[in-house]
Amino acid sequence: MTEFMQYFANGLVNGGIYAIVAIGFITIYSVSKVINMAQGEFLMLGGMITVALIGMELPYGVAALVAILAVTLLGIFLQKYIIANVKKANAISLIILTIGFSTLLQGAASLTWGKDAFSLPPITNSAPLSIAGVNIAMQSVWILGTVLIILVFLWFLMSKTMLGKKITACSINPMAAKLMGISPVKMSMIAFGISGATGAIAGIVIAPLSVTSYDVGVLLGIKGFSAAILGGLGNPIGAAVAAFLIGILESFGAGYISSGMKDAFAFLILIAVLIMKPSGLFGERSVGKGGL
Amino acid sequence: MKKLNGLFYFVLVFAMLVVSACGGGDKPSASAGGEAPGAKDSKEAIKIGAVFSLTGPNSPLGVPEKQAVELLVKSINEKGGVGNRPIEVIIEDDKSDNTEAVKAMKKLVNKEKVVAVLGSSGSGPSLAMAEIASQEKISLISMAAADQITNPTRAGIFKTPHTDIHGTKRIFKYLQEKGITKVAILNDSNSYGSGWTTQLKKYAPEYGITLVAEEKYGTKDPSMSSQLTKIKATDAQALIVAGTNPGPATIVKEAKQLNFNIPIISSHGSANSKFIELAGDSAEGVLLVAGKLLVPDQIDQGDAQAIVIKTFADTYKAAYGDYPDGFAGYGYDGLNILVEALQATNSDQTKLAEALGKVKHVGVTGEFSFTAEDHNGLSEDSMIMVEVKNGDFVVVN
Repeated sequence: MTEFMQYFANGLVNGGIYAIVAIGFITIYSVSKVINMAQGEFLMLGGMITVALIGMELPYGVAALVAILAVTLLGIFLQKYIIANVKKANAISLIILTIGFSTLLQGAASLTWGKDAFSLPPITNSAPLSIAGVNIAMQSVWILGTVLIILVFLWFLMSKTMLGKKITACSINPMAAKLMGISPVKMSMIAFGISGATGAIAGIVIAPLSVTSYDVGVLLGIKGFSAAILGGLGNPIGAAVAAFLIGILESFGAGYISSGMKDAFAFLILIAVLIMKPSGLFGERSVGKGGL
Repeated sequence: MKKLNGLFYFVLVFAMLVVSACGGGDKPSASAGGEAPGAKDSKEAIKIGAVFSLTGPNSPLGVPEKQAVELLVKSINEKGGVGNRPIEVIIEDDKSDNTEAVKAMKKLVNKEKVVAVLGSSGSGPSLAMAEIASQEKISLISMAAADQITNPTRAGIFKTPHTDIHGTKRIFKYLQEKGITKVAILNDSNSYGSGWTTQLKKYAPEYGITLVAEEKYGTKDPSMSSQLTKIKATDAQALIVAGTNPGPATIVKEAKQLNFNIPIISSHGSANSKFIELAGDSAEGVLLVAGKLLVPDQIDQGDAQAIVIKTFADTYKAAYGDYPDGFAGYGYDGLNILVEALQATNSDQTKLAEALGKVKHVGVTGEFSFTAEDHNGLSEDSMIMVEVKNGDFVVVN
């Protein structure tokens, strides 16, 4: 039983990591119908910039804040100068553009910081939490807390503020929104900014758990993307649930069946779900028309 | 139709990106230390080829190898070269790629007419180069890990690094001394880790050791805690981890968070300062199997290698500012062995393969003793067990 709970706890933490990435995908997709393949690189930059700034003897908090700000600006930059400039292109071309951008960011990071891995000290350096034989690293608590805060923040933003209503309007019908005096381009820019910020925050909170390097975003990007698809693109809560599902299934798969097959379980589930319900677990039927 | 086109371009561009990402940066091949002014008038230089992975994923291996070789070329030529002739090492970059390695090898053999070739850093490129070496009847000394390079043995083909077999035997010997019989393993699922898994499984019965858990992890996995949870639930008395950094560093970090209380032993693939840097406090008490070059200051004075290691470590540090790692040692030993054979044959290429097969050399990696069945020439006794204490590697006796 102790093992069962420990696998569950491990899965919850991994799921939390995937959830933050998935939410980043959804935030951009719901407004602009673009799948931002550079989402994983936002994470990588969040972690790497923080490591670099701490190396320059900046305090942890300041370094993290600067990193989040920098990546947010980068997200806005990506939208304003790259995506918005090729507005007439179809969704696939835009996705390819983001892939190109992600490769560019990876290349730039490997040139700047080299190909080595770096470690970031934990936010709070205390003993792991131990509940009935189940051990959870304090950093994992930070990760889960961050997912919750981001989810609550996004929910509040989208359903309780005017800005959220404007973003929703653009996502439902950009033309109608435009006629009401809302600028879809501006909303899309805000979405990229939010996505950059959540990505950077995710990169910073997960780095202390293992290590961070120039290519850390690739695998996390794929896992987060899978979660977003499984949840049915367009629904942040659905994506978060799907992300936790993938994380927990992976953990149980690795624990009870075979750790060599760990990644296969998550993707098998994804394929099975997509065959049975192509719109994803929580997706609406219309979703997917825009891009893929 | 339009949609199909879009998809086609998507795949095409993606493929191009992957190819360009793997290719790494282009760098013209550099030739090293060939000038040797003055000596050239007397006699023509002996041309030796070298292929290292200077760019791409294997560059952390190839760069120190190149540096060690350049350093050694300079020192040999200052002492008058080989048989009164200076040596010239022509270094090519294989970009960590098998095809590039073959191209470089062909260029060195056909165009540069070298007497023998060193390299490459990775197992894939080395195996590809060994095929050419066999066909062209040219000697090759590889710096790569894979056992298949010299097993079965082929005329003129040798390698300098320790294999996973040496590591496995050394760890098991240590466990036997400590009376530990039940062991869990957690290895990277890449070729390095799976090689270890094979050897650990093969030699365990010989040392009276039972493997109670065999787990794997992916090189890029952000967390290995599920595997550790599973291992914790078994009655394992020790955990063996085989992978290259950062995997093992992540594992010891997470093991600490899970209150893991059995000793962790990590392979020589992770035995470098980066491991301690990444794992921080969690590295304390972790055991590693490594070559003696890792701790140049702690080698027993009675050890035949002591002086060789100290000399190399000090010269390398003076030239590059840091102690050499194992990879630098593989390159250094490779060229030294070749030079010994060149001296024995008076640089006659046709007799080189035979001469190499008889070389007995005290190197920085270990004491090489090539035989007809063993073209690696090392034994597990050339490896040591070290423990991380106060952020440093300390030899365990």
